[in-house]
Amino acid sequence: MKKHWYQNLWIWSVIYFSLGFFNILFAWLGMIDFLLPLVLAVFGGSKAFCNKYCGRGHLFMKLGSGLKISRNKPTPKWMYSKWFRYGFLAFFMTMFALMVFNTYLVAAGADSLSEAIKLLWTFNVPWGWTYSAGFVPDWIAQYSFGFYGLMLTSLLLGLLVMILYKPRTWCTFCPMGTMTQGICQLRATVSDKK
Amino acid sequence: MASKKYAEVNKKNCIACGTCMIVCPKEAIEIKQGYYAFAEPETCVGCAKCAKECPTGCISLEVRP
Repeated sequence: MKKHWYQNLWIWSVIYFSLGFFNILFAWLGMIDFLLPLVLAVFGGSKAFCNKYCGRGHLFMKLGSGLKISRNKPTPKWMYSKWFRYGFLAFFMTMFALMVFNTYLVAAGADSLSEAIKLLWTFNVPWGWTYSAGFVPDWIAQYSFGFYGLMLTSLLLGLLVMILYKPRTWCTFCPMGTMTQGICQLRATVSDKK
Repeated sequence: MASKKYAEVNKKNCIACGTCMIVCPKEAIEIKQGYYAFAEPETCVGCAKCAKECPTGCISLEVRP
């Protein structure tokens, strides 16, 4: 198997989560993983981010296949069904929107900064050592905490299904994957009709 | 001499994650139009690495005609 440079991008995943453990403002770097796939899909008509540049995907392959942490059992059919993929996307985007709304409340002075990350959209985990109040406007810090929580939650879910099923089972319902494949499918349908 | 079998992707279940593309030792797989994988039958040697790694199990090994 020919080795490509992008197969080392699992390092980015490790770096990102490590940085956020020391300074939460680094969480904003995760916006690259959020925006770049969409840009490549909308303007390039490709899922190149998923295929090559997703650090998380490479991390799961490294751990799951490389270190054989994955049981390598078949992914349940329902997990890659259209209804679950789009349903999970809708759920994830709703929780993202709520996080953004919370950020707005802090920006508007209607709520105070909460120096905690939310795991599994439920558990508040204190994360205050990663931020010194007043360094940046509170809403920037609030978004950092919120976004890091989302990223860590999805990483944990991905690691769980990596262990239980196939290394890249997370990809079957990853919101970014669902969105970008949907965009590419739409683009292909439109261009085929022309 | 071509292998007895080659990989075939079920487009319906393919999520175009690119795992098959990465593990293929012959680089026989590409993602078409961003939404499904395709294994080039001429290049594929039927090793089944893609089928083993595919998270949706949408790749099967078919006998060459």
